[in-house]
Amino acid sequence: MQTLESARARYRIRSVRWGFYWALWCAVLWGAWYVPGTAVWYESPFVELGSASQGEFLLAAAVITALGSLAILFFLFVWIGVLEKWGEYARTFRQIRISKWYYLGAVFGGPCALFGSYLAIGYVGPIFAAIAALMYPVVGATLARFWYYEKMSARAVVGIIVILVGGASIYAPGLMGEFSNPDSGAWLGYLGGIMAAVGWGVEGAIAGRALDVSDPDVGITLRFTGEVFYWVFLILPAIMIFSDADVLSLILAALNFSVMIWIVLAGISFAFCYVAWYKSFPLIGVGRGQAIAALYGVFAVIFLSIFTLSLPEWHFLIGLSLTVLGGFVMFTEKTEMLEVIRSSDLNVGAKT
Amino acid sequence: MTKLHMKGFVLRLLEESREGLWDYEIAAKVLEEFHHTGDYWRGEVRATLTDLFSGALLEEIEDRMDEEEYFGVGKISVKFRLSAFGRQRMVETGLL
Repeated sequence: MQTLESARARYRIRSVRWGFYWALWCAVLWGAWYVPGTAVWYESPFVELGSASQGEFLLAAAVITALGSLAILFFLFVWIGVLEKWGEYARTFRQIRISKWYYLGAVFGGPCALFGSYLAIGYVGPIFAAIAALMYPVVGATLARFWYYEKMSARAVVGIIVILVGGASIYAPGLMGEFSNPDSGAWLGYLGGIMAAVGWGVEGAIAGRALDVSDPDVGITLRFTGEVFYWVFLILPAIMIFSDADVLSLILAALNFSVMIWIVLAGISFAFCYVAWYKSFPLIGVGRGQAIAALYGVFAVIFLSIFTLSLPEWHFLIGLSLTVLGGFVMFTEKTEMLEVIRSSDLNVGAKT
Repeated sequence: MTKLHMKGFVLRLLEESREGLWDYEIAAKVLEEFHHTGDYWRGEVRATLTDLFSGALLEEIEDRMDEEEYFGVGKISVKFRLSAFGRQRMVETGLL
């Protein structure tokens, strides 16, 4: 016969553990995304555009991000269909004072972070892009702490720092090579790196706010509904109207089998990576959720190694040990500290 | 009146019951409101309550072993009430 005491302890630890599992699952899928996310650049028509003028490269990045967001939204619609949450989607959509936060989050996560990442990859290099984006938990955790008083223990801060140092050390040796060999448009790449870190950090903090009062599966679907709307009805039409770029023919050229395979794979991995990200926030907080998700740096190396059949450099093991240690520091934090992620006394009277 | 989404409905329920509600009472009302049945939806309500509690929108005021077996033998039942922060978030998001 189970005692009330042990049942209570089990109940408390379960929600916290699930928060960490979701964040870890997000990291795995985020890492997997780097394979199709990189491979799509090696397919026609993008492989020819990659080395073309700045304008054409920017357009290619925009078209890839737009097609990717459409694929993600498709899988999220299937997901909420399986969960029987279509009704919930419609009901939350009508709550404008809640859903507006997801649309704002989409601005930071999509046209800012994802597009910025592609700029960073193109103009400086993938290593710089990965490191720059790794810094996003610092932005997210800081915002969550000062905006809505998310609890941030010294132990959690140490965990975040160790994970970030570990992630940076994986990529650091290669980074020097990229810095010493900058492109003519390098400043655009640096700007893109900042856009990625700030964009994902701010999106997480905004999402954390909206997830207070709405469902994570539905919330992420609304967020991508917003992003698809921005790309399809605002950004791509604006490029068509205000520039000479032939957007339509690039999109039509991209609708070939090889590109679509990579876009669909990128869509499925990022869709469920985002589902897991949003599900972790209410349970363990934005700061911890983002830091654990930043383990994607490790998984990206692993997946790319498997895909290219080449072993990672030896220093990968140092980075791997540090990131695992950082995750462990946070995972073993006392449950009492984690079961309520906000300092509720401070919250009343706080501004939105 | 426009039908609320699930978290909004749960918050409104607890706002109306100042003395608090047991999780199985909340689950029964949610399932009735949204015409759902079965363990999956009972689990969804429980997950929703966990989210709301973690976010400090709800407070636990009592707990006991789940003798009614609403959520399964060996599990715990919890009585929740809306926190001051939860009420504030309801006002900010137009739920109140």
